[in-house]
Amino acid sequence: MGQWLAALTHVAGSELDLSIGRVEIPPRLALSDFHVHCSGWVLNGDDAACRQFEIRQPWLGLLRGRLRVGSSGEHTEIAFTDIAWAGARGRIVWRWSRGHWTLRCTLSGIDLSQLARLHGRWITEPSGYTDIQGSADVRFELGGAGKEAARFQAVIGVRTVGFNGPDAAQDLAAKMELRAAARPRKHWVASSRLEFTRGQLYLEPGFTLDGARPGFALETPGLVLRINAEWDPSAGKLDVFDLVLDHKKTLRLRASGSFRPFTSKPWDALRLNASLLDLRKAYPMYLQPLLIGTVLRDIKPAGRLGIDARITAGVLAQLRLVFSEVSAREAQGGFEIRSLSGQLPLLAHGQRLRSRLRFAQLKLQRLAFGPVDLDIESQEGELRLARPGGIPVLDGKLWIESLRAYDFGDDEFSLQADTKVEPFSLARFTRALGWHPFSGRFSGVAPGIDYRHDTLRVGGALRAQVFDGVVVVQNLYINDPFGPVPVLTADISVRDLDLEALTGTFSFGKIEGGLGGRVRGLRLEDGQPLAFDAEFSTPAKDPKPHRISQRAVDSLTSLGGGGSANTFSRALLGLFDTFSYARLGITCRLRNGVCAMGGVGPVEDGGYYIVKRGKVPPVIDVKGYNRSVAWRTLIDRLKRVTASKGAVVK
Amino acid sequence: MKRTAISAIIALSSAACVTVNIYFPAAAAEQAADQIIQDIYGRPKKGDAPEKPPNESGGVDVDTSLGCRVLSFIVPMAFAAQLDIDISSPGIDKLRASMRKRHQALSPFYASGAVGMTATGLLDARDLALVPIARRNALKQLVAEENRDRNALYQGIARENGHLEWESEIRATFAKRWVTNAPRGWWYQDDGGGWKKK
Repeated sequence: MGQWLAALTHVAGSELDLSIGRVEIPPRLALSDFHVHCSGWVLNGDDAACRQFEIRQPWLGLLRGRLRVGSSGEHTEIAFTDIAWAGARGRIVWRWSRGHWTLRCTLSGIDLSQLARLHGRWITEPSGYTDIQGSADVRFELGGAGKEAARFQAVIGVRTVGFNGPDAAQDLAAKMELRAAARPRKHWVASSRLEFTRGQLYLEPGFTLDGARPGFALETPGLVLRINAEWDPSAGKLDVFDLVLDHKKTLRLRASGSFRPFTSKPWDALRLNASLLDLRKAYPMYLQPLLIGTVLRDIKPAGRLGIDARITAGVLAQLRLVFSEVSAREAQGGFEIRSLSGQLPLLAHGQRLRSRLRFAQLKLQRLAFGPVDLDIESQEGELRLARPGGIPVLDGKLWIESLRAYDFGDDEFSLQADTKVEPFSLARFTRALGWHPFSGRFSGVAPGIDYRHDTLRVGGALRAQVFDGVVVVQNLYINDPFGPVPVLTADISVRDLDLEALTGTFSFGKIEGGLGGRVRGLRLEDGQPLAFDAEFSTPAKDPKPHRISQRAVDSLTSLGGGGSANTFSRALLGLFDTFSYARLGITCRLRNGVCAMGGVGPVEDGGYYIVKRGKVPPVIDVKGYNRSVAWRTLIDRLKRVTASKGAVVK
Repeated sequence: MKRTAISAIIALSSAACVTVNIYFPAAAAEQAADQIIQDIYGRPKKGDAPEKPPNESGGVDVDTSLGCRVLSFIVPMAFAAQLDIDISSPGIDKLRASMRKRHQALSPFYASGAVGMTATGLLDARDLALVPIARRNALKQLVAEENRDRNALYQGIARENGHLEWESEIRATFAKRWVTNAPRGWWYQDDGGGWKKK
């Protein structure tokens, strides 16, 4: 078997003490420092027996049992029976016959907490695992010839296993079968089956994703792992021919490749296919841990997902997702997708992959897009639309001329697109967003949409034809669009609005005339205005009649916080329904929650004109005197004014 | 005498005009941090400054390009002493509300030591062995979301005050005040990166 250096240290009557310096068990195990004590030593021809046998070894602790050594011609047997060790009972038998030997061991009921304590003597650094408990039954057979081992098989069962640390287990029960055989050049081939029947497991594979270490919390019953592999000790490499992981009807994973343990890039080559057969169950267990902190961190999915991955030369070279009737709803209602099918190639080194992706509907907040059928191409790290595609939205279309995305799963992820909005109705759009509905059409050309480093930039101009005029949005940026507080900046220009249509829609009180203006440097934080420079006024050479109703005057004065407080004017106000004006307008520069207000011209006594009188009586001036109004106050007043049917005259 | 006085004033004013710069108002930042943190921790505020009404400006822009009047040497120093940190924006309010609500779920993990305060003003799930298997991923999710909000908060405050470059100092201020305002028994990271129990 192996070599052993023994020194007989004491013999007295039937007591025997032996020190064994070193025992080697092929292929690689070596134990040293055995102290053997035998009492009741009996020698009988070629047989020897020991009624009570004790082995002490620094790592093994104390092993007790009976020993019998038998020898006949070319056969020798050493049997160690009635073993008591680490809470276990069992036997170890070594047989040698004509140069061949076998070592058989059966140990039942090994107490894992005792084993952990023994282990603590071997390792100087704490393993990081505590509360180790459970019991194990081990049966193995090792056979060989001379100094070489040739075959090994084992059955190991564990029960009520628990441990705590970065990985953890609770009430775990599992059974493993292993068969291995030696091959030339010290290679070994092995096949193994591991099945869990009970318990919970928490595993942190060890890699970091976005600064955190993902961990999987598994309900293990039904989890089966089968593996066929060959171990090459000189290269430190495990050739995995076939690895299959089955988890009831939730996950089926198949892989093959070349694995080098304890290196920085352990997988030299890997082909992996994972089928998540029921996303409803598979997502919380297998996907969600990988998506913490992303926009998919809390969704309710259904359908099937397949993942194909390939690692070549230690680097991820291909990654593809295959969707089968997948739907998902974001828990906060942010988005929802229905009937997603097809393939999404995320990465393709050295190849050009083409695929088709379609879905029935995608909802972002309350805006619905779809159905969509796209042709996608992936090459190296780039994903792009193979040909332009249209996405129906409301009663129009979002036409994507081109789209390219790079570096998925990276901080350097970026996306560029050229799009065109084919007109859709604003009535449906505003209603979908929950705004006060108004009519008009929305269109635009947006070349140069760019998303990178958490900022979305929309080039070109978005146009809304509304209230017989045109509103144009340019220089649109959204910072952190998927984060907790998105910030939107834009410049808006307004031309040829019809005030009658506008004031009619919002129950402001009728004003006839045109309106134009702009909002520069608009900044919205989480949908609320934070800053802007706005100015609106009657356009020069406006052909429309300029008339303002009494109710509109009341609304304007309420907005400005009360204008002229002349009681005589108030009385006259009540007499007429409509007044004529030459120009009207308002400006507001919003900073730090305060609107610095102005109008269409200064008033001698320090105020400003909101409405400047016309030529045909009855005429009216509306003057404002509050230069600073808190934005919240202004909004409250506007809400009150447009909500009530009659005006509030202060 | 008069001429020296005048030239001294002119010299002072031009020197002051040229070298006026807005430095980071550390004391005000600490006060603002304490206010936000105590509100999140759910502790009654002890005599801190009330939230500024919108009519008062938080930041100060001292315009040095449009010529310097003689009296302007007084202005920078006076304003610098009153410099404040403005924390009233809808985005910051939203983040505070979200963090206040999440704190109730995080509280037991702080107490058990499963979660600790890092030196960069964020949270770390420092000892998951203290968390039962079924709740570990939920805690990781909480920590990721809280860190997201905290990063947005530090950036949002810097942006709100018109000085994006103040983000790292705001973060450092908060990193200290999270710990100072924390009850005993909570864990935090010291300058060396090691974990300590308060």
